[in-house]
Amino acid sequence: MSVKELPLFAALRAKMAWISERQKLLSENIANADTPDYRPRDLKPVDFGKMVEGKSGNVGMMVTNARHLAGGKGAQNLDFKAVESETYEVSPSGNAVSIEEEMMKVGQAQMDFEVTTNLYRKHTALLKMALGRGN
Amino acid sequence: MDLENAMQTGASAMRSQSTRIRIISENIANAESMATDPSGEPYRRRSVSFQSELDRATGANKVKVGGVIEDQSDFQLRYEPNHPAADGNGYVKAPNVNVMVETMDMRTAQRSYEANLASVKAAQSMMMRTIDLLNSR
Repeated sequence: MSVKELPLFAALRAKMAWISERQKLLSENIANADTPDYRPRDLKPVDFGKMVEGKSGNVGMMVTNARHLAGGKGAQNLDFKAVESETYEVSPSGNAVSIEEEMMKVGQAQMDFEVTTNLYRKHTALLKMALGRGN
Repeated sequence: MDLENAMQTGASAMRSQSTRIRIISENIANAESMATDPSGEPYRRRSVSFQSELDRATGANKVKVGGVIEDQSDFQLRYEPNHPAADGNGYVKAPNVNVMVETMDMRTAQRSYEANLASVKAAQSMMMRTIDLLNSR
């Protein structure tokens, strides 16, 4: 079992992928803040806690060899759904983007990303400590 | 890469906003550009409209300037009998530019530009964070 298959690392990587996907959508929203008839989109939240507990819903077959086909293994096979986000106001041009709200979400995404990368770093440090390389 | 796409989207929006600022500056600059004879028309206010555009190569949803449209509203009339473009009653057609409106529009464009810049910076810092994982001792 390689490091990247550890459930926690898989979950952290999925979370990072989710946040970058979200950041992409948010920057599209901000970019289109003046485009007529544009509706902002956001990703559906994913319950990452369940993923760590191994209850992500899609049960996959046990992989006992690195060469086995990975069929539906929780974290790797997440599909992120983009949905139209709730809006407060629509401008006369039909645009419903609120820059303030999008900026808040960007800030949140940035914070989440830092938390995730820090956790990732901590866990690699933990593994290294277990290997006896000290830290 | 999602974060790269995010940066490209932000960059395209910033480009579009600069075009908008350019058109607004043109409007302000030409706020007093009148015709030289009574049959001519003064400067007509122009405005930009944006359009969402899917970049098929990268999958990024970018923004482009959809078109620069001329404002079809009526020209202002000013009483200046000694102007070369004055009509029989002494009125001159002045551009349909309202400098106040243009200034506000400029502010909005500037605000949008800054928001895009911030989102590009956020994407960039996330990318740097990921790269920083490499040298975690």
